[in-house]
Amino acid sequence: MIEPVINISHLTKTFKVYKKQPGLLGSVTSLWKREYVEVKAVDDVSFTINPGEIIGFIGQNGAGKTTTLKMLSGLLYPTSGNVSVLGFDPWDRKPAFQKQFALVMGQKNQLWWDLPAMESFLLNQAIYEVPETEFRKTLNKLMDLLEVRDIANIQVRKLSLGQRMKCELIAALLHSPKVLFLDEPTIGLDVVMQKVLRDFIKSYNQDFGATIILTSHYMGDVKELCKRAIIIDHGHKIFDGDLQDIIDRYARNKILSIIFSEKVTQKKLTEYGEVKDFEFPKATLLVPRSIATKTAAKMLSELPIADVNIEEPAIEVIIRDVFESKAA
Amino acid sequence: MYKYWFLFKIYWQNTLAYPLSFAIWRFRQVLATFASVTVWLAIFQDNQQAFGYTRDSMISYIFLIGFLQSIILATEIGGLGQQIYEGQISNVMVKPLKVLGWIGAIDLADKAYNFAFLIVETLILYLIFRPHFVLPTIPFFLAFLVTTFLGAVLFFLAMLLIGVMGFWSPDNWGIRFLFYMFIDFTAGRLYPLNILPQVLQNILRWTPFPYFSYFQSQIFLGKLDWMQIQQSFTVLLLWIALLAVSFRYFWLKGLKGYGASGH
Repeated sequence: MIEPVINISHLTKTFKVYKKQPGLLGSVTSLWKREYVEVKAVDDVSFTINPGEIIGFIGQNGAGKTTTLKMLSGLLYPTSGNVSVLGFDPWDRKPAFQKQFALVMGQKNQLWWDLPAMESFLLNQAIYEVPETEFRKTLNKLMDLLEVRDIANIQVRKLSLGQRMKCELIAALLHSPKVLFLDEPTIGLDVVMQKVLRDFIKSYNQDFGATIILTSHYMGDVKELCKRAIIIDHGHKIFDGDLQDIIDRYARNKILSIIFSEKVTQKKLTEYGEVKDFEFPKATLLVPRSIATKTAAKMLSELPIADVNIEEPAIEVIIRDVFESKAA
Repeated sequence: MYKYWFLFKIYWQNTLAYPLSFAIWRFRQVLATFASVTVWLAIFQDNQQAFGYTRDSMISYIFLIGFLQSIILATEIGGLGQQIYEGQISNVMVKPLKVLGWIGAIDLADKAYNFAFLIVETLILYLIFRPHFVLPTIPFFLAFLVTTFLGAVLFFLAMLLIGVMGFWSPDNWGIRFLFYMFIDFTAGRLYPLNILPQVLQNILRWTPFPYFSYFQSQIFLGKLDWMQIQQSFTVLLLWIALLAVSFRYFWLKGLKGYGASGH
């Protein structure tokens, strides 16, 4: 049986938040009377993660994703519940644990701003006590993978966001962590750079057998990298499983994309499903998943159709629907 | 230890990347000593003695106190509270480092950097004012070195204690300002504390402020006997213990409520 790398059970984190009354009067009143409310950022979340998995941690802003990652990193003290990463309690912040994981926050940097990134790499070599030969080997590999050899000796403040993010990743990975927490690693990057980072994360996972938890607002990141996803909403875990299962469980409809050979009316099309889009000769219909094949066959026999395709809705749409239905 | 030494070096590299602000800061320090000596020279123009000090002994005193404060009060952790409040220490907390080791290495690097400038400044000021020093005997000189080191430790702990407030509020600028104000008036920078009324001197002896430079200057200038040194030394150690225990208590309490916001 495989021993999980990450094991969290009934994890809860509550923050006490100051609730200010609006306006100047509220500001003055707050000098002697402050109202605090308790906010549950993470509420009774449990899951396990096995070695080598890449997990997509999905949720809206404020859902509790980053708070969970911070507890897994030992930055936050859980209000209740248990956390174990690589057999350690992260809160103990033992060096033996810290040498085996890395936390990368998009757009937040550990690089020394006024110095070339290489100086931060060397500092991390000293901090993580990486032997010289191993350091050079890993550094060369990472610099080649991310193509940063020509910028490593340029002052960090002079680099573009994408270049900085690449250097951030290198700084975080020089000690070859077994567990990697990536919080919005592609945020603010253009599509080309997003692709470069995704490819890199994928190859790092394969080459180093690293376990990765990734949070991202870009479903492209999750789709391309993660087989398994955990969805979190208002601090609660609402889904944990294969990405395909999200589609099976939450996608109510399939999409029929049709091209007609002769004119049909929109009214006629509504007999078969919900018309999302119609501009002759093309039409897009939403049809309940259970009868999608039957409906397509029926339409083929009853209507002048040149071509028909049955498609799954985009994962972004399904997840948006999940959150909207929860909100409703 | 190598990691902290590396940190020490990288701090110097970072400061040397844009040295102008630091040079101006040092210039301000030189100017403060220069102004102070000039004011006292004006006072002594028509007097052989003032407040029990001769012209030479007062200039030596001002010179020495400027030197001591440049060492003891040089710090890089004035912004610690803000860094904690804004979650900037998270980067350090996730690494195999002692957070206090990190802060200490940075602070020590800053002191060493200041000290390097101080040597040159002191030479220049010495050539201008030619203060007359009688060097203390070796035992007193050793006591001077030890208490200077402990004064720096006390100040470091005081700054940590102010910084740790960042776990609860970003609003510690005012306290830091007040603390420095107290230092200006009670650590001997503007005048020797023994010109104050005796009752005030007696009160100040029990506060931490004279130990940020005044006490050390008096040892160097041979104005204290061994009994007085022992008594003050005990007070200094008690303050160090009190601040260390308080810091540890608030640090551990603060960490449990740390929100790592921003990051």
